[in-house]
Amino acid sequence: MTPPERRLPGELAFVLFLLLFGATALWQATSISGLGSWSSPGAVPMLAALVMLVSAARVALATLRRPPAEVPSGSSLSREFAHALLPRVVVAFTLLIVLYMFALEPLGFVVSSLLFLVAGMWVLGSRRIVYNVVVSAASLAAIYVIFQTAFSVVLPAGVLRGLL
Amino acid sequence: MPEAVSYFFMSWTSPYLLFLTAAGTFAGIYVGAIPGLSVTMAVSILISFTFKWNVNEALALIAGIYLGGVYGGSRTAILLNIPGAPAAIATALDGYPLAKRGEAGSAIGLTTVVSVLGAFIGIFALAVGAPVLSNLALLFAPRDYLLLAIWGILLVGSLSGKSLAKGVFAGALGVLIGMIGLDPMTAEGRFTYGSVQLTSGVPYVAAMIGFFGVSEVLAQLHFLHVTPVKQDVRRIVPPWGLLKKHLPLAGRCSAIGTVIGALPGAGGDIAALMAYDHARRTTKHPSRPFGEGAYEGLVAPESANNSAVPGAYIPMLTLGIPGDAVTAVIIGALYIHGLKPGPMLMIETPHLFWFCVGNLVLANLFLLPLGLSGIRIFAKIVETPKAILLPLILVLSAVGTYAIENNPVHVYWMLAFGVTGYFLKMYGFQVGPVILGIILGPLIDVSYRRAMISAADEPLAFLAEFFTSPISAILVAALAITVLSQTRLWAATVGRLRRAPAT
Amino acid sequence: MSYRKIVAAAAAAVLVSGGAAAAFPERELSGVIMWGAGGAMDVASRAIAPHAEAALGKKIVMVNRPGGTGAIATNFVINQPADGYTLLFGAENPQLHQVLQLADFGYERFHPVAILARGVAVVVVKADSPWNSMKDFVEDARKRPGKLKMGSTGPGGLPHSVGSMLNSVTKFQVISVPFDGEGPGLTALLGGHVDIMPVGVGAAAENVKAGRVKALAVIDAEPLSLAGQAGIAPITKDFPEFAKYLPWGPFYGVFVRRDTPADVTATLVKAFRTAAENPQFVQLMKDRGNVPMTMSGAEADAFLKKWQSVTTWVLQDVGAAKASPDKFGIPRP
Repeated sequence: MTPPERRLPGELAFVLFLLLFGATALWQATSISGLGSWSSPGAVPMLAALVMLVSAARVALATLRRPPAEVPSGSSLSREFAHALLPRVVVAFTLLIVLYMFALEPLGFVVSSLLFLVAGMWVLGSRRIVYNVVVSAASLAAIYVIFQTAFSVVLPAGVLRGLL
Repeated sequence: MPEAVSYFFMSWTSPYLLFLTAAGTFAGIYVGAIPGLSVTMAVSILISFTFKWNVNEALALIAGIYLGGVYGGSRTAILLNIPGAPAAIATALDGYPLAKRGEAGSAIGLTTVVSVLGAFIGIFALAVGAPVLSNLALLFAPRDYLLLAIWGILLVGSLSGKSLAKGVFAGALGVLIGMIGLDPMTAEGRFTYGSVQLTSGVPYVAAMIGFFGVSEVLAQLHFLHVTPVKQDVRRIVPPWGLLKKHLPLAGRCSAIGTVIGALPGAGGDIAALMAYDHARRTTKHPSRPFGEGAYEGLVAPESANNSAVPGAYIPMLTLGIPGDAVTAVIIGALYIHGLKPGPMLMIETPHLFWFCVGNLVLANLFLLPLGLSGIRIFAKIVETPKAILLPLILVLSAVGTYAIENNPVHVYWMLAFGVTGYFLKMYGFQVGPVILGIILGPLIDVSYRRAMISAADEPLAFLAEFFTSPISAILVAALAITVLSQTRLWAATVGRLRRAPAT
Repeated sequence: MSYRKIVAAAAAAVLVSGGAAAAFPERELSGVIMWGAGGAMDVASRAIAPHAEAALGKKIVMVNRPGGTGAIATNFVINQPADGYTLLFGAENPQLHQVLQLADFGYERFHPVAILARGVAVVVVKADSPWNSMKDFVEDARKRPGKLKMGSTGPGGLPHSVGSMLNSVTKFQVISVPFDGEGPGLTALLGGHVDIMPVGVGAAAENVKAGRVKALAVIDAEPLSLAGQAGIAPITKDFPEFAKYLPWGPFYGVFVRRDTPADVTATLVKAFRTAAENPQFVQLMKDRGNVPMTMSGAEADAFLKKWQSVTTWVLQDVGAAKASPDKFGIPRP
């Protein structure tokens, strides 16, 4: 038999969080309509939350039994966590997505998407700026025509209101 | 009968109807492939558009879009892991791993052929057995929908990956997400916390795109330095040997798809998941392990979801009852065009039935060349450098999510689900069960409660009802066998029985 | 884009931001249907939409947002901007939302653009069932209390209201099984999963003609005859006391938020009036057993108030209301 796998950095914290989440969900589900009737609106949510809590407990036990995450000397658990799960590029790209979503309405779909695409391609390591811009613009034009013109999905116009 | 034949071939002989059917099928493939554009949406838009047309023209266009659209959902599921429509969720499970292996071309080719095959089986059932099948569909009581949904949720077992407990957790999380919003039966709020946004629930497509697409984009960031696999596009049309091997499975899954499609309370998404489940249970030696690019994992859901299209026509044409959201819109269109969908439709306007059957056959014939063309170009999408492709996928996901209800909040949901899905994946949870839970959770909830209310809220009477009708009894037996067959006792007994005659 | 087009577009933008009312509607509208696809509300909405589109010159993108007896749709529309771009295609149900505590408002927060039609309800059973009149059924239900099943569409739905009215004139007890709408409920009735269901006549007409269901009574004082069929007995034949609630029935209308600018509502009212008078639409409504109407503004408000007063007090009197109509200033009829 192979020795049990080591825990991943942050795994224990994550499953403990899931356990807590399951417990909260169960508590919230019981407050929907209590235990009054077999066909109450809260019946299935309570069952689902209970299943979640029990399975989270089993996952937590299994995780606890495995040896802890490997932390080489000179490093720390949080550093290992950042290295394995949140490398810089993931954090940067996720932040970019968040910015994009908040810019979607004020700047409008076309402008915010263009900025996001060009910045995103740069962050992910494509350094041919002109190529990036051309690809982005062409794709956006296609998306715009399909959604807005053919399917009358009203995309946010933003700063270009009145021009498009 | 000669009249029926002439109506059957009506759209074949009129150049204009022929054109509309082909155009509809072509457009449908792309509507289906683009996440956020749904067949229901396209058909609803067309209805006001076709208002001044004659009803046959409208129906020809709609049939093409419907059939093409359900097929088209597989395209993005295979290439980008984003199911273009809920009916293609099961397709992503083995289709995307195939694309990662460089087999996107043959995966789409096989998908196309089995989709066409599935639809033909469904159309055949519609043509010869519509009245029988629609009366069978009526016999499904709320408790039977509950059994069906429980059967479907058992798929969690095979979607869990290494840890069953993690799969069960993910499935229950999905069910819970599906419960958010006003309860459809009593209008009481569940997990709404006074927020109006939450009263209408979590948008299903935002969850699908977030958990599948966005979480995959984030996970792919770990492999930026890996050059994308070269796609092998020499062989698009699947070789006869491969097809022949999968014919029995495709046939069985088409039967599943037709029946589930004909049920008024379940559609192509559930049909595809049930078929995938069926394939996993009955295939002893898949071409590869399921989840890693098994051809069986493509054949099953794709034949089932396309056979569910003619399946949904069955109750629509015979009883005026919609089999799913799209047929509901078509029924509205028939009313607007002065027809009266209902049990009299077949009697008062029998030509309409044969026109629809003939037209579906035609659309399905178009689907084969239209689906098989352009695959080489599509497969190349996967070869695009990740630094270019990943931001583009994200924009497409965002606009698709936004398009469902023109609601920017849905885009935030999508990102939240994407990040959650990313962490779940990283720690060995699968996202498949979450989506399964979101789709089946609401069905379980309402069917269970309807069945319980019908039994006057008495648990014993509720249980007793499962043995009062042949359909329930058959479903209970099938469910019991499915559950038992996963236990060791079963394997031991079967093993002993097998050995017995030999000794 | 040419130079001239840009100038024109910019000029248009200035005009719009200046609030030129003539520009309404400058883009697609969205129509929110409060019941599921395929139901009576859905068909009426999708049938009127193309005529209204022709009159407005813009598309109306129709979406079904069923759930919560219409509360999900009313809640959605009330939270959209009051610019007239989001239309609510609604039936009678929101008038009961307050007393059933489904929402804290009804149509008083909406401006009635048009009441398109009103319908009558029929009580149907499966064709092979043993009951041939409403009296038969009620007697049987009394013998076996809590055994017979009535299909419903949730609190505040038409079956719920009709059931309450019946209960106020003659006591009997059935199990009420809620479905997502009249269509799914009727489907369950056809399959024998519920025994009886009151529905809008439009939803049941084709099944009555085909002989798949029997109509025991029409909720009206006059008998109803569907094309080529024997007349359906009025409910007052077996239960004369029912007369005090009549005429009563579902209705189908188009609404926008009450605080929508007057010029915008005027444009909408005009467009929907033209649309509702379209012969094709009128014929469709008649085919479905409905009475076409073209009512809007104050006249419609009076109609809505009267309906609310009659129905909420019935619910209150049979104990089906969760809060008294008094609390919301709804007068007793």
